[in-house]
Parts: sequence; structure tokens; C-alpha cells
Amino acid sequence: MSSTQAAEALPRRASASWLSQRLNLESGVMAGALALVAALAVIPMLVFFQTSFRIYTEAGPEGFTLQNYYLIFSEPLAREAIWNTVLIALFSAVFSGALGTSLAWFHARTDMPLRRWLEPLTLMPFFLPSLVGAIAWWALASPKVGMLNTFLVGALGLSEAPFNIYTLWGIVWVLVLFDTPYMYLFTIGSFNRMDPSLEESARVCGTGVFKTALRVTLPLSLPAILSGVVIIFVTSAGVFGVPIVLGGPGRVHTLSTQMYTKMGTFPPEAGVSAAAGCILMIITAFGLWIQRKIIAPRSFVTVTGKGYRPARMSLGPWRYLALALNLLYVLAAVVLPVGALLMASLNRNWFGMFRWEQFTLRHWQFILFEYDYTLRAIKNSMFLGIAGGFLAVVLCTFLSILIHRGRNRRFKSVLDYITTLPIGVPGIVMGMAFLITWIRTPLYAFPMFLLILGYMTRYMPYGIRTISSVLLSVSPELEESSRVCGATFLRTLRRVTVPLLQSGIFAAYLLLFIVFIRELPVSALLATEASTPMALALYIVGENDGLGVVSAFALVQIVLLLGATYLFRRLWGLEKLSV
Amino acid sequence: MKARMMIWLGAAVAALALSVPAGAADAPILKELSGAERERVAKLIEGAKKEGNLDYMSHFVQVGTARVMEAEFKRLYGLAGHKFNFSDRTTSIIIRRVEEEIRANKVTADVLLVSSVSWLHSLKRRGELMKYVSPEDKHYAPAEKAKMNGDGHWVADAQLNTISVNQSILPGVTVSSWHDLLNPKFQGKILVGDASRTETYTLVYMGWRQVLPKEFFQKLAAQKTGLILRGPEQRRAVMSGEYAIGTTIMARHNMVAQKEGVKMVPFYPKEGVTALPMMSAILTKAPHPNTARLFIDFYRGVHGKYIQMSREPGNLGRPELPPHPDPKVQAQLKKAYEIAPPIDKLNVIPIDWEKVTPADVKKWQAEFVSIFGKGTK
Repeated sequence: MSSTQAAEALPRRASASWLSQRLNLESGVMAGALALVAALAVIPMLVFFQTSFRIYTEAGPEGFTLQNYYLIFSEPLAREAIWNTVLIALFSAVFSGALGTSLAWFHARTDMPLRRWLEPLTLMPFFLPSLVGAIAWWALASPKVGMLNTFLVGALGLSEAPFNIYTLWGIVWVLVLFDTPYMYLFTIGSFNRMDPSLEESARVCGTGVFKTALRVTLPLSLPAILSGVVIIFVTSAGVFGVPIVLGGPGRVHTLSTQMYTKMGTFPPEAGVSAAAGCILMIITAFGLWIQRKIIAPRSFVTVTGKGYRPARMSLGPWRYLALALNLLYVLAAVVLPVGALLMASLNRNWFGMFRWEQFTLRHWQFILFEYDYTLRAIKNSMFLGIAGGFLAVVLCTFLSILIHRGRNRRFKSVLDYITTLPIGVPGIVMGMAFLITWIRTPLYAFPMFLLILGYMTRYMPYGIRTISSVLLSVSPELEESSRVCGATFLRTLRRVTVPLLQSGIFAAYLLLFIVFIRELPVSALLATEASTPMALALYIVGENDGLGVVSAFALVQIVLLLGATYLFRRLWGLEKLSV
Repeated sequence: MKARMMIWLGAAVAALALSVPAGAADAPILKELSGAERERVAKLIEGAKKEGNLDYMSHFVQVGTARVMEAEFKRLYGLAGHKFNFSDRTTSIIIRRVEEEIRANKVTADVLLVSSVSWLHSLKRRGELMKYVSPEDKHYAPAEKAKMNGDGHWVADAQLNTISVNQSILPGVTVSSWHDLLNPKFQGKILVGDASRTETYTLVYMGWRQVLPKEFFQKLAAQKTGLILRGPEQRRAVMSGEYAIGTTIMARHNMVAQKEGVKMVPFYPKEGVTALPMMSAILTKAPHPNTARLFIDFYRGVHGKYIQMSREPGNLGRPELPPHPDPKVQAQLKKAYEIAPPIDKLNVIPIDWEKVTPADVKKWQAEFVSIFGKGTK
């Protein structure tokens, strides 16, 4: 072949090579993933977004207008609700971020005593729906009949109750207690997988324990920390159960309670509700943008190709201070509220203190042996948690790998944003969007499957973030070595990537199992009687029955989730599990 | 001749047997009926057997009561194999779900048991409610007089928001007039439903304002009155003694409290009480119309009302029920009437619900806010 012929042949071979690069398996997989996520998350979000521009009349949604947004920013009550929402979300995120990260570090990287016993206790608030947590803290800290107030006023002779849970700070307090385990779960995986040589190098150079933590450990865990803080900020902004119980008497209005009241009118002010939700989504997008700006330029590899044995840092006498902090958290977040629920479940009625003359076991008997509604709800929740959680974790693992290991930057970026969108949408609005989207499809006839899809869509960001925080700490060189040795993409995935991600995958499965069990707003709209899950049954019982019955049922839920956590640890081994 | 007579008699018996659908003769309810009504119900039962299901939604009937009603309904109408899907949800959830189903032409619900007046009037205007006049409707004259019924589309019992006093905290205290609440000894002890944020409490407030001047509520607000958003929280607050008096507590919450050992007693002040209609209606596109009609007959009739009144008493839109043959049940009913008398025995503030508009709701909410305040404490 002459050089001219060779030159002419080259562009055709090059273009064939370009085409085959573009149409390879990875592109196909990426496109498929985008289509799936679009169907699950984007379509309902678009429906929800367009609702924010509609006015709802008797005949249904009409027109296309900015009036809903104008109403939100012009109505004093709505402006106040936005301001309260931002404050609650900000303080909840900051305080639970600091507390959760600290506790995770103590457990994963230090020699704090009693870690093994405190770990499940630290996670226990996670098992309670926020509505029940709010009720428990009402029983503890309401000004007139709160157990703590009654005790302190009596014991110290105070003229006024020291605690008032009906305030903005009361709401923040409850949210911090119940959000700290989220932060713990987001960061513990990253801490567990960290190569200790990085910290050892700092210590060898004479850096103290806390300075090492601040200058080495925490910066390397920044993706996990920021992910957790952003998620807690957004979920706190959209939470409903706590402000609806505690905000009323203190007249603390939030966006979520405003949405609730506007949807209860007819014609419903669904457009205004959706506009409020869109504002929350903008806040989410801003949080994500900040997160990307800080994380994107830096490398956070902590797991490298060389082997290591995780070591713990000695805190010296400070370990007892760490222990005290953890015990204080467990007291406030577990002992007191669970204690209040236990006492309320054993009394016919609640008068601010446990009374022996009110002692009864009938609430327990009713829930465990008589009320088939709650018994069926427990079975439904187990199915949704186990089967739904499994499907969700498979999806989240798949999506995490595509986002962080895919080669097409544009696809990755789009996929990352889309999978995070559901975080910014309050649950009740997500449920509404899902209902509107899927009601016209054959899926509407299968409520259990629809529930799983709804849960997966809503909590996909949690699973992806948990797995991603571990994936980011794993160096790609391990997978590249496998590919260089001739292994296919799928073989590398199976033999290298997934085993390295085990702690994150198990943590994500447990996390998803728990949040599926706790889920309420999507269930409220989509569940039928036969498919009613536990959280919804708990809410219904709370509407109709006394505090004693609600407390007993809430404790059943806690025990079931504790049992499931214990089983997970036994099945996959304590060392492998990050929660 | 005799043989011919026997043949004709046999033919007549056969014709009679054929005219009564097979299996319908098993239904105990048919023993209580005769003539055309018996035939009508028998035909509905046959239709219901082919349907096999009923789907109904409510925010005021509890799951436990629904179960008991379903069991009795199946027994009474000989529908042992029937399946029920009962959704106990808040008003907003029911409205959104049903409206979306109507828009998608995929209605799954047959019967609605709700108290959202404006919504049901809207459904009626749009032709989405079936006009079904049950034989039981003739008993609902008191509800008709209070303008709570829906012109053949529904009849109503009442959700009366009572003044409930926790007499375990305030022994011997009774309330015969709204003005009794202005007693200084009740300062800081009274709870009012937050009309600034829910339509239900706004309508209640609207009713109060027909008989009480604005100045009364200004004085009530000066009593350091607490505001509460939801009924269950209000019940918990009054039962526990956090507040001693609730002004917007449904009758059945008093029964819950009394069962739990708290002496919570409802009072109906002489100036009047607002009666929110608790309506029962069938959707036009109900997938199981025969079962729905039978269930409505049952729900509005004595069999259904015995169950509802003995378990979660409400203020009937019909006069007191005939005495129950079982003395135990009758004793329960007697107690229920003490907590929740039928509306014909009360001073119910008449409101023309069909004329209430969203603008009215906003107007009353604004006034409530101007009196009781808003915002963070």
C-alpha cells in the first residue's frame, strides 16, 4: 500500500474506531440507566414542577401562571414558614453533622470504650418515625405535662417548667437527635475503610490525635460528611411529623405544615404546595452545587492497592470524654424517649408521670394479639423492607458505579444530578407526583410493587450516597489493574469492585431497609388496605387511639428493626458491616 | 280438575322460586323486608355477588369499626365471600386520590364517608356522585332541616365539635354557655382548633360567628388560649391535663378518653354548636355499584348505626335508634347518647353549606388570625 493509500485508509479506520467507541457496551448501559432513572424520578419531578404553575379549580388544574410563587413570597405566613424552614434545616444539619461525624469517628478510628455496645444504641433513633419521636418528646418536655418538667419542677421547686418543646429550638432538638444516626451511617463506612498509614504518617511527624483528625481524617472524609449534611439539610426542610405535632401550640409554621394545610382544602392549593416544594428543590440543587465545588477538584483516595490493617488511635484519658458524649447522646436520643414510650404503653392514660394505679398490659395485648390490622402491617413492612430494600440496593450499587467509574463525563454528571433530585422533594409531594404519573398505567393495579418503586425513587439518593462514599475512597487503580490483566468490565465488577464496596453495600441495604420500614407519606397515598405498611398503620392508630396504643406499636417497630440490625450483623459479620 | 289445580299451583310455586334469585333467599335481611323492597334488595344482592368487592374510604370511621361493620354486612346480606378494601386516610389524601382517579378515569373507590362539604358539593355539581335515595333516607329529616343532606346524593350525620372538659382536672365544672369559658379561672387552660390553617376548623369558627360576636372571641383569645392543628393532638392534650378544656373535640374522642379512665365530658352550649356534615355517598363511576347501594342502606340503617354508635358515637342526623334487643348493646347506646345526642335534640347552628365558597373560608381565616394571632411564639 502506498503512503497515500494508507493516509486515505486511516480516517475510515479512525471513524470506525470512533463509532465503535461510542456504541460500546458502556454507552448502552449508561443510556439504559438514564432512561430508568428518568422514568422513576424525572417524570414525577416534571409532573410536580408543572403543577407548581397551575391553578387548581373545581374542574382540575388550569392555566399556566406564576401566581403560586407570588403567593408564597407575598404572604407573610408563607414567608415566615420559609424562614423557619431554612433555620430548622440549617441548624439540624450543622448540629447533627458535627455530632454524627464525631460519634462515627470515635467508633471507627479510636479506642473509645464500650463501642460495641454503643453502636446499635447510637443507631436506635433511626428506627423511629419522626412523628413518634415528636410524640415521645411531647410526653417528655411539653411545658405542663412533660415528664422532665414535672420531675424538675417537683424536685427543685421551680416556679416554671424549664423546657418548652413547642418552639423552633424544640423542633431542632428533636430533629438533631433523630438525624444524627443518618450522619453516623454516612461517615462510618468511609472511616472504616480508611488506610491508617495516612494518619500514622501525621502522628509520626509529631501531630496530636485531634489535630490529625482535623487535618487528615476529616478532610479525607469530606465527601461523606458533605453528602450527609446536604441530605440532612434537605430532609429536615421537608420533614412533616415533628413540626405538625410540636409546631402547632407554639405557632411555628414550616413549609411542610403549610403544604399539608393547603392540600386539605378544596379546591386543593396543590399548585402552591408544589411551588413551595420547588423552592426546596432549588435549595437542594444549591447544596449539591456547593458540594461539587468543594469535592470535585480534590482526591479522596484512602483505599489503595497495598494491603493494610486498620488501626485505632489512642485518645488517652480523652477517651472517657468521648464515652461521656456518646452516653449523653444515647440518654437524650434513646433512653428518655423510649422510656417515655414504654411508660406510656404501660399506663391506661398519660398524666405526666408513670402511675402504678394506671398500670395495664392491654395496649400490648391489643397490638400483638388482637388487632389484625397492625399484624398485617408488620408483615407488609417486612416484605417491603427485605425485597424492596434488596432491589433498591442493587439499583443503587449499579448507579453509583456508573456515576463514579463511568467514562462519559456528561452522562455521569447528568445521572448524578437526576438521582439526587428526589432528596429535595418532600415525601407527600413525591407521593402525589408518583400517583399522578403512574395512575394511568397498568402498574396502578399492583399497589405493593408501586410502593416499592415509590420507595426506591424517594430513597435512591440515600443508597447511592452511602455506596458512593465508600467508592470514592477506593482507588480506581485496583480496577484498572484487573482490566489490564484482561478481565472484562463485568468480571472486574464482580471480582474487584463489588467486594471492595461490601461495607458500603451492606450499610446501604440496612439503611434502605430501615427507611422503607419508616416511610409514611408515599404509603399514605399509594397503599391500599391490604398493602398498608407499619408506619402508615402507626399513623392511623395515632389518629384514632390513645397514646398507650401508639407507644406500644412504636416500640414493636423499634424491636423489629433492632432485631433486623442484629441479624444483618450476624449474617455478614461484625467486621464487614459498617453499621 | 284437581290435577289441573295441582299443576297450576306447582307452576306458580316454580315461578315464584325462579323470581327469587338463587342464594338471595339465604340473606337474613330479606326476612325483614317484603313486597317490592324485598325484590329490589334481592336483585341488588345478586348483582353484588357477581361483584364480590367493595372499596370505601373514610377519615372518621376507624379500622376496628369498619371490620365489625363488614362482618355484620356480610352476614346480613348473605355475602360471605365478599372482600372489602377500606382506606382510613386524612381528608386531603382522600380528595387527592379520588380526584386523580376521576381525571384518569380509573376510579377504584365505591363509597365515600367524608366530611368535606365543599368537595362533595363540587362532586355533585360535576356529576361524579350517584343519586341514590336509600329507603333509610326518610329518617334523616333532622339532617335535612339542618341543611346537611345532598338532595338524594348523600345524607349526613354530624361531626359536632363539642366543648370537652377534663373533669379529672376540673372536677364538677360544667359548661352551659360559651360565655362560661371567659371565667378567669380557665385562663391558660383552653384549647381551640387552629382555624388559621385548616378548613375544618375555619368552618367551625364560621358557624360560631353566626351566634357569637367577634368581641367574644377577642376575650377568649385574651384567656391565653392555646391553638392546636389536629384532633388527635387536642385529645391528647386535654386527656393528659396539659389543657383542661377543648372547644373543638369530636364526641368520639370523649369516649376514647373515658375508656382510658379519664373523665372527659362533652357539653353542648345553649347558643349552639357547628355541625359539620359527615356524609355517605356513592361515586358515579363506582366499580361495584350494587354492593355500594347495599352498603349505603346498611350504613345509614339501624344495623350499621348500632355498630357505629356503640363503638365511636357521633351525633346522628336521624332520631335516636329503636332500642336494641341486646341489653348490653342498649346500655352502650345509652352511654353513647349521653356523649353524642342526635342533632334533633341539640341547638345546631344552621348553615347553607352549598353557598359556602373558598372566598368565605379565606375571609374567616383572616379574621381568626387577627384575633388569635399567628407566627412563632
